Amino acid sequence: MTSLFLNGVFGVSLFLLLLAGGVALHLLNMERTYRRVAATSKVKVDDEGEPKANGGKISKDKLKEEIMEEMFTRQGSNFNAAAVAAWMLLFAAFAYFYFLTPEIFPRHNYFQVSFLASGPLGFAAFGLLVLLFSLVAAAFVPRKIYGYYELSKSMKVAVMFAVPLLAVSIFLSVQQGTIYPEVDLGSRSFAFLALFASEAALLWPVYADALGGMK
Amino acid sequence: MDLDSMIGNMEKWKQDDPAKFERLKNLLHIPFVPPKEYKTPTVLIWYPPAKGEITRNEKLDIYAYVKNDNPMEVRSDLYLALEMKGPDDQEYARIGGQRIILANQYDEKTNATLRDWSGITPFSDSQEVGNATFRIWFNDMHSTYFTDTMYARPFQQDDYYSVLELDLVNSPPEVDEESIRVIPLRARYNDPIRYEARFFDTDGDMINVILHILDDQDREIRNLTQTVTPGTNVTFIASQYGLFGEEDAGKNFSYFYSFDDGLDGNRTGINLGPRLIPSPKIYVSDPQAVPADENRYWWENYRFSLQVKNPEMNSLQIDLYTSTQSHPNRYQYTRVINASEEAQNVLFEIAPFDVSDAGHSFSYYFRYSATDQNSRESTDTISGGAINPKIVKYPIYSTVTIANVLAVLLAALIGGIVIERRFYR
Repeated sequence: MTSLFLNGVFGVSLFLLLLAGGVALHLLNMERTYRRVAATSKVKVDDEGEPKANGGKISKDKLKEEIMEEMFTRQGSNFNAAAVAAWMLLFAAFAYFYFLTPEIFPRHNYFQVSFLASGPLGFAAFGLLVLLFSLVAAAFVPRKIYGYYELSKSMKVAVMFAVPLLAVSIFLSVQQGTIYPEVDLGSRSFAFLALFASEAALLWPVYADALGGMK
Repeated sequence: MDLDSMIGNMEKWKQDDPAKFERLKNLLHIPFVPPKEYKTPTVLIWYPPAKGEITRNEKLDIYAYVKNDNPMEVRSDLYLALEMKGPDDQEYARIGGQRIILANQYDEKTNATLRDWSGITPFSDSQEVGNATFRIWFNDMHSTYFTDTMYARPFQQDDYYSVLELDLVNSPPEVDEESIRVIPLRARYNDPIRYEARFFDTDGDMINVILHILDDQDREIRNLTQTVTPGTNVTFIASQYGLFGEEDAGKNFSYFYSFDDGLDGNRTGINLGPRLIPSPKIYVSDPQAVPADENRYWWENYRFSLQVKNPEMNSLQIDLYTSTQSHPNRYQYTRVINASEEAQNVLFEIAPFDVSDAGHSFSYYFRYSATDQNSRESTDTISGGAINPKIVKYPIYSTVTIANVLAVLLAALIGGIVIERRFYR
């Protein structure tokens, strides 16, 4: 189990797989929802989803856009702010866990940039750099995802709870850096679980909707 | 008077009065008159190699072929000598010794015999190449003859000659370029510096080798000569000839060889060396590197030091270099000291490493702007031991670490709020 936490290829693959799965399922969820809404409206669509109403004057994209606009539900400000912060922290925690010490990727880590790592603000600089790179994705993912799902209270709590969970993961990863080359397997494992639990929580609405759709 | 008394008297007269003795001898001499049927013997040079070209060291085998058809009772003793006129000679000169043929020494059937001058090297001292001519002088007790003039026309058939003409040739000596060297190339002025080279001569001629020593302006300052056997190394040992003195320390020299075999010569190109090391100006000792902390972390200060005795140089520059796997030969710092009669401890208190050096061992050396007692301008590379593999200076509970983490968390939260307000409303 310990080697699983320290296996870089497994961890990175799992992280990316969960993300890719979330994106794919979200697209499927949207397509299914569009078909259902279109089926119950005056606009008829054929097997390829092309609208038949109005003599075919309205395009599918336009119709889809209109339907999605109708479907969009504003979440609360606090939830949105927390979700954006959580997504930014998700990427930061991922980078801190896998690319901070030479332990997992000896040739690709923060300490290879010696001028950064040798200074007192190195940890912050590393994290802020990751936040900057993840800014665009983190800023719009919540808007593009959570606005189209019916989020239960527990889902919202889970998404918001990801923020402190990711903070703990980051803190424990930094602690690993401070004691390197020693390894604290307990905190390493906890940081790993916190990271992937957070990712699961952030993607839960998508996966849950996909599961409901299948039923 | 018996015969013994007469011989005794004759010897006494010869000593006491040589003039009268000579007169008596002439009175008693009865000249030999050849009979009318006497024929002058035929004398020719027999040269079986039949090779027209020779070199100076080549051994010649030349024979006199003599045919005497006179009957035994008419024959007289025959005296022979080989004569040669070399490329640089005006006159013939005898080579080898005289040969004698007695009347009974001819072959009974052919009436002929041979006399030889084997293994002679008549050109060994020749200073010119070109034609060389051989003839035989002989005397048959009646007359004296030369084979080049006794016949109406020059005779030559098979390997028999009345006059033998040979072409003296020479191959120039050569040098084995790979063998040219000066050892050691960089040395103290009083080191046993040796110049070595190997020369060849296909003719086997002795070779005169001249070593020309040039200063840094390519001006010749000395030349030395040796005569060597081809194929052997010629060696000039500088100390034997007193080539270099203390005043030459720090200078760069070059050299070339000229060589000849007495006939042809050549020279090599100019080769560099030796490069004489300057005389020591400073004395260094006791290089040290002591970490400020026994844990030897990369972020700690290290105290590098070197004892330097510098009695004469002002502004002596001492540079410190460190080497790790990540930063090989990294310049660290320079100290400048002035002349002093006392030994000075030159200190460098610096933090020479960064995080990429953690876990690696390091080495260091000092480089200085003068020559030390070992004729070097740097110390050896000295191992400094391993650097602790710990990479982060601050513990997790330190203000710095917590501030770093909080900065990231705050940035994410603030980013979330700002983005929500800007794009989600």
